[in-house]
Amino acid sequence: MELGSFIIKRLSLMVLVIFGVLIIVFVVTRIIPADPVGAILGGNAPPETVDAMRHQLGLDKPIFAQLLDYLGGIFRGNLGNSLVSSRPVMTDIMEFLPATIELAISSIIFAVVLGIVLGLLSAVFRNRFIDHFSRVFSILGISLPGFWLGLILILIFYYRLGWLPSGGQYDMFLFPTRTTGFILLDAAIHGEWDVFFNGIKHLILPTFILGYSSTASIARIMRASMLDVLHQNYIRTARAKGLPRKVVILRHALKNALIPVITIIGLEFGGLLSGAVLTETIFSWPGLGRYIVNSLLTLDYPAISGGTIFIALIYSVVNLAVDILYAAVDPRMRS
Amino acid sequence: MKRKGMGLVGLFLLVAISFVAAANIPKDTLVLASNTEIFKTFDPGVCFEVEPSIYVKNIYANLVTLRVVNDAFTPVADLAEKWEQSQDGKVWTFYLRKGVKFANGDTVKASDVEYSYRRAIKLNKSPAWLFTDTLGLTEDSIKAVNDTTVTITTNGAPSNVVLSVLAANIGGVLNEKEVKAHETNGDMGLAWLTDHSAGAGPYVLKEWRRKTQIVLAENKNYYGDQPAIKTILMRDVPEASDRYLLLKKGDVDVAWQITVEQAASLRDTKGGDVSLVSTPAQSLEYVAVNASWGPFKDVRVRQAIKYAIDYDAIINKVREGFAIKNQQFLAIGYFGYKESNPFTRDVAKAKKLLADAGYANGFEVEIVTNESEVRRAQAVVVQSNLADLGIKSSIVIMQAAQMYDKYRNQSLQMIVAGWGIDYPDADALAKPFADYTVKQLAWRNAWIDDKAAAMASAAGKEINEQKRAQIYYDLVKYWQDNGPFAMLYQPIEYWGIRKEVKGYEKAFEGYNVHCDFTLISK
Repeated sequence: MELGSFIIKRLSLMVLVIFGVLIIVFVVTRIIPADPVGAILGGNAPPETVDAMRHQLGLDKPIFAQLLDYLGGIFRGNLGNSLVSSRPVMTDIMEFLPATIELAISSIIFAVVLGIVLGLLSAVFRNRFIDHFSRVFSILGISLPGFWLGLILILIFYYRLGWLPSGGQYDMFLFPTRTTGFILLDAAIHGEWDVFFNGIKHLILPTFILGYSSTASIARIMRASMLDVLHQNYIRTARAKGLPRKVVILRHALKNALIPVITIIGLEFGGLLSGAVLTETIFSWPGLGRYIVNSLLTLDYPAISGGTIFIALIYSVVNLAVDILYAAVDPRMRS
Repeated sequence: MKRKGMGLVGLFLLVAISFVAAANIPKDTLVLASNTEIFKTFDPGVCFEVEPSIYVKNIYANLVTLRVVNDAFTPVADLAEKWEQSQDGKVWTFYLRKGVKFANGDTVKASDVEYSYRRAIKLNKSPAWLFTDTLGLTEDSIKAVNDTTVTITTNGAPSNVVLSVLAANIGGVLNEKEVKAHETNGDMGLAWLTDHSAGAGPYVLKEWRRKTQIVLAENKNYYGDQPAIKTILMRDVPEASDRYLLLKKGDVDVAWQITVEQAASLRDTKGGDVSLVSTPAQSLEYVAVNASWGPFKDVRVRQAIKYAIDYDAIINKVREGFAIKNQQFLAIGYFGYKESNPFTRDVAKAKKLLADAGYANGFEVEIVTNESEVRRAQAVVVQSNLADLGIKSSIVIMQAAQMYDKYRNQSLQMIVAGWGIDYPDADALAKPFADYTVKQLAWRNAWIDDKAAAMASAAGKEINEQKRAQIYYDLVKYWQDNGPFAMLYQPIEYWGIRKEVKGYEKAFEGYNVHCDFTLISK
């Protein structure tokens, strides 16, 4: 199959996936035996007020009419208004998404660089100290709860040593100019270097916490893949030809060992986007994860749907990009 | 060359890490740490949540405001310098102070009051029922007679009720001209007022960066004394442990919503840089049973539950002492309040009541509560207390959206919950707890008692204060004997504050009913 047709096929599948997510989210939020209006108004509101708001929000319409309104709105690019903030869901998402993407990107960069280096060293120096260290590091990364580790790191690096801030994207007395919503990018565009460096400092701990378990996964996959490649005939041939070990590992083995890692990076990035809520809570990070969880707690239908669609969309796009990359690297994948 | 490149990267990172000055909070700035998830809007016609209300109160001036005088909320002049009431108690005339200005320099006129109140009724958002149901107002009830006189025609509610409601957030006076200039599609400024302000209070909303920080700045046109604190900055810190560490380290002046354990630790540690300020909260915690469900139909079973509960354990262990024993629906300091705590844990008496009702071997019941840590702990204590009577109970934790849906439909058997007071008058408590016709707590627990309903309703209309107080005393007694509620306590609210912050206790003595940032200094 041509690369072009492969991409078209994957894009159509992606549209189907997003549509499926839309329907599932709609059905699941509506079948829960709960009332969002009750949660929004709190326990004190009299029934007349509750009924009036239910009518105002169109929640007293038959469920099929609600579904049609919902789908109609989405096809017109309107995700509706949040029941809680009363603002367009798109405005809310655009306000919080950049912070989540910024954190996810820095975490994936951290995880990819460290994961590949650790996996590579672990495979090359199998059963030596660096291998043991890497494996222990990986096991801890997968098993330690991020919430607990985050608080411990705040206690050490903020409270005891005073080296790093406890949370937020930048210090409270800074008032950065916003253009794209991405703090570092905006700071660079406007030449606000105090904000830029301050932003980097604020990214360190959340990046580590969010990226740690991905680092561990990537390191484990990288180690296994590298060990597999190192036992292949072409590596043996390369060595027999008298090529230096460094050249064999970096030029011949590494490229081939990276193929399975590419897939895991796509999945991990999606996980970082949707799983950032705990990190966002511990580090007071103004991201989409907290927005979605809060929407779930108040059963804010439009916000839940909007947030889920965005996460699904980004997840699908990233995995599509990974598949295309994979197909470009390995033509066998196009069939 | 490569090494040189690596060196440059290292240097860059080093600069990045060291490029932050420690947070030095200026003397005229107060930094608070709180979870701001509850903030939805700063519009006085819409805002109805406790903590955002504190902010709205400091942004908008009302006709009258409330002050704590001799431990009781007392209406005092704000924008209105004086007021009078017609003989039948229904028509109120307010005379505005002359020359008072909004934050943007426009003069406050009676037409602004008329616009603000009519707008709140028309919007019909969460607090609108205070105007429409409690005071019986319609849009035509409010009339600007001239620039400085406004009349309000009520349903004849007692004066304390009228003035308390007018002092609530919904009574905040907006600058009509400014709001109209920011209308979108006839929304009466709803979208704009979500994160902007147009008031005449001591502060203006300077910035609300959601999930990051909220900044109030002084209103230079405020008619009262200029506050010592010029900027109030609330940092959004969703995690209680973070808030506590920020406070201890001196990066914030005040931490809101610290845990009971952290508060107890501050209370019990004297002489540090951080101390605790506390005040009675404007809410009540209770256990309620559904009076139309199985064994709870029998008043003796309801009484048995009240004698089974270990109130002291809940107050001293679960709340670490941050609660006041109060077993009636009236909050401390409210009109008609007279201390009355008839219930103490008495298992033998409770068992006898159960046996008399024909439930000597107990029964099975489901206790519902929400995910709050304190509520869950209270439910566990109640579960254990009921077990001593042979009652087997299971605890079900529900999210608010689910719990209130079932509660409103009278489909819970037993609940551990709380009630935040809407305005500081006995009426705001007697009706929800005793009058099933208003379809609030008495209704939700299926306590369809016409005598209690009639008494609560009569007290809500009685303008003779002595007679009104007497009705409340009688109602409290009747309610304690017959009602489906075991009132656990009135909570104490607390904050961790740095030692350099002065006047916080006075500023927050009325909690969300009256809190005044202008009384704080450093």
